[in-house]
Amino acid sequence: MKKIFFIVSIVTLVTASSCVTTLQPLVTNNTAIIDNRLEGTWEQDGQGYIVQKAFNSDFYKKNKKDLEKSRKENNGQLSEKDKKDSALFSKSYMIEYTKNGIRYLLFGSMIKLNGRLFMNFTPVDLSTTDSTNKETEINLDNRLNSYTIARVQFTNSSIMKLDFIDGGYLHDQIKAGRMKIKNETDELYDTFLITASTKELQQFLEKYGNDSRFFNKENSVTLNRKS
Amino acid sequence: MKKIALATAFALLLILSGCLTTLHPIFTEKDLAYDPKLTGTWNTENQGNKGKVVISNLATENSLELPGNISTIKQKGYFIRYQDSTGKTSEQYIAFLARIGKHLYFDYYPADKKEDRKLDEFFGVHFVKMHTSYRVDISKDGSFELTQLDEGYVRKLIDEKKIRISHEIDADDNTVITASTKELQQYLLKYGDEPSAYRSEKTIFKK
Repeated sequence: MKKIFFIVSIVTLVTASSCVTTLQPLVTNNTAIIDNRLEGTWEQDGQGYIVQKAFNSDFYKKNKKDLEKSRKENNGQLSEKDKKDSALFSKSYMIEYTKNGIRYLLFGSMIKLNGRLFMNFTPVDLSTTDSTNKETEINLDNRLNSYTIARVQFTNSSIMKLDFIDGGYLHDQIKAGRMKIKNETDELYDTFLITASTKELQQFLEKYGNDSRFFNKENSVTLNRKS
Repeated sequence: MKKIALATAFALLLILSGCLTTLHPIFTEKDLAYDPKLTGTWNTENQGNKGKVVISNLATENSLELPGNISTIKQKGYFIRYQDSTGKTSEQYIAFLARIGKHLYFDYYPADKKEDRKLDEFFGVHFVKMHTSYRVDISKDGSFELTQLDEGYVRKLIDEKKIRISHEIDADDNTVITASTKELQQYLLKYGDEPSAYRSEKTIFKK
């Protein structure tokens, strides 16, 4: 049971509820790319986001011991999976933000498909930033970790726009038989999860990555560089 | 059990679980077997751990935000709150009692507590709620036992190619059961009497 203690807080929304989530990542170790424009401190409506290369991130530094332990347990070698993960890590980013006393950490990887940039995000960690306040508990039992996908556009090196795929639109298209991508849908509980493979996701975005119907204003975030 | 951790090496997220979780529910409306006698406050015991569980009719929980189309069947559903020794709710679920073959099962679906709703929505959208299921054995005196389906057993059947059940392997090599309700019911009909299909510990509910 994962219980995360943190401070009672108020949620502010960047973009969220209609985001598509996928079971598989869009980006893997052999397709991830580095884009130096990503690193830095970004802001949207007063909310700050710190983007660091994963290997330079504070989170990695803190957890480096786990890597060494794994290596020792494997006769000084990394397993094949660890090697792949390590390769992905070396080309990925940590996105950190704090809201109402909770520090959130996401793992982000970038890919270029048909000349367009996309990132996928998955949660890594959350923690309280103030241990003196009354503790509250978040229970994330019985939940499956998934990924979100955003198209990335740099207006210039100081403005980055993230367009998340509109889940409602995609769901409607799939339901109407106008688009095909492997998914699981349960109307009773309103569950919608894209279960397509990484390759299928990439092919889908190669085809529809420039289709404006997928990316509406409600699912877009414009970030301004602070540093 | 859900763990967010930087595991050995670089695996980002792990689902460490002995409990079978499924993306789809095990029931359809026609399988529902609502029993009002299950409502009330229960003293529970699981491997010596004592607790309290409050079960109410789902329709009476007016402040609860119900997902999807659950409101259409809420009269036949339960709201289940697990409380710690101080009376504070530690976990809560939307649940339905269903008869699959000769057994009764509870389908549990996580319901956000007030504190859970404080999670940043963008961060929280990455966590897809899963169903967990328990066989329910009701005694003549009204007490009952819950025995949870075991994930390891299904995984073993899959690995040994003894079963065809829809699933996906995620990036961290976790097996995610994506079987439809129909497939899940077929599994329960076939393995419902198999003791190994369940976890060894039971939770006993007594008034």
